[in-house]
Amino acid sequence: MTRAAVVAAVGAALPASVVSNEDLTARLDTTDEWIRSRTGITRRHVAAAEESTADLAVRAAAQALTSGEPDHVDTLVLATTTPDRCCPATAPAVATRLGLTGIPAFDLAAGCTGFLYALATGAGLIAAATARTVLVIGADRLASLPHPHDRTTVPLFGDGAGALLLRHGTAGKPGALGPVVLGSDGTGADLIRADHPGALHMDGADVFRRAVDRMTTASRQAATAAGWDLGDVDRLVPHQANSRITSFVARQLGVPDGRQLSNVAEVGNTGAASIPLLLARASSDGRLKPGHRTLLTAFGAGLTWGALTLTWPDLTRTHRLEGAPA
Amino acid sequence: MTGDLACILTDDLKLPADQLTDDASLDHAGFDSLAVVELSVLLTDRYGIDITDSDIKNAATLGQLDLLITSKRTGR
Repeated sequence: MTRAAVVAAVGAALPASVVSNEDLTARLDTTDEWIRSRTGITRRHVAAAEESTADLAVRAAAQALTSGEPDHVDTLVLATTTPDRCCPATAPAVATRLGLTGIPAFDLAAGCTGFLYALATGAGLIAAATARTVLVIGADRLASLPHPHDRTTVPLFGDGAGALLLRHGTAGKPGALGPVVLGSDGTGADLIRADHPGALHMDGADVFRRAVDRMTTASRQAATAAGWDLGDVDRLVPHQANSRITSFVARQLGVPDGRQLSNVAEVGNTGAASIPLLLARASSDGRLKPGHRTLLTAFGAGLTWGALTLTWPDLTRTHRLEGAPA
Repeated sequence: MTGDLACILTDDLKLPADQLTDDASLDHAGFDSLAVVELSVLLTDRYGIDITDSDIKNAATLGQLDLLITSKRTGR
């Protein structure tokens, strides 16, 4: 039996404040129709000034820990592009607030692909028997990145956090993460960049072209590595950047609309939080069921991209984690 | 307009079929900036032809766009 990381619990957190497209039209030269037709977004959650990335991360992680009931957590990985400070990293404070002072805890930055990079890191620690239980969090406050008057980027982004609890288990079983495909390309570093909050620059056309190419290729590679045909995929979970990009990727992969999960309309682009937020939402509302063969893929600033497969597990049973040595 | 372009515009880009006439401008047919990129990517994937976003935007009508695509595909 090959040791693998298995998804044991999921958690999510969104700020209470909701900003609709109509709210934006009051302060930007845009329309609801313009935003919806180009992005699929109708509203997004935006953190209050005093609501930090750590606050969102702690809420999402606490939910995952409550449902997963681990005896212990060995490591915490926090994927974020918007840490609360340049120094120190946000993860140690998150760990301490969760009662996990002392464990390894670190931030990981890979743009909107950050959560897949963090899953790969957690899975690697478990496969190497360095850790038995890893808490993987994606948390971002991307709504703070665009210039407040930039009508092309302000509507795209929202804030939030999502978390998955990984435990050691057996490859090929429900919940086990399949082979991970990751990549980066610094020649595109300027296509999505922000020297500081309020100064986001994005080259929409070139980003679209590269995102479609990289997500499609990575998805095919991840499916092949797992021994799946793309026709086997029950649920495609693409990073929720923009419905035009995700629909295009789904069509290129031959995945029918009904098998593509989406929540971009309600939350916008939430960066590293995007995939776990969508997994949490879809597993709770029944769109994602135990046994669904699920393909995750993302693309983001860096440029970075990735994809991986898993068969969605039954998370309704309590997963008490044994304390025996690995 | 050839069937291939019409199929891409209706099936892939989801543009309204009743606006797709040879003398329609791209704006009138419902193109936005992302649709230009989508079409460029699809033409490369399906037919192996390189038509830039600028080439597409510079076509005054769908008929001209169709001619451009046909000429690229036949190598003329």
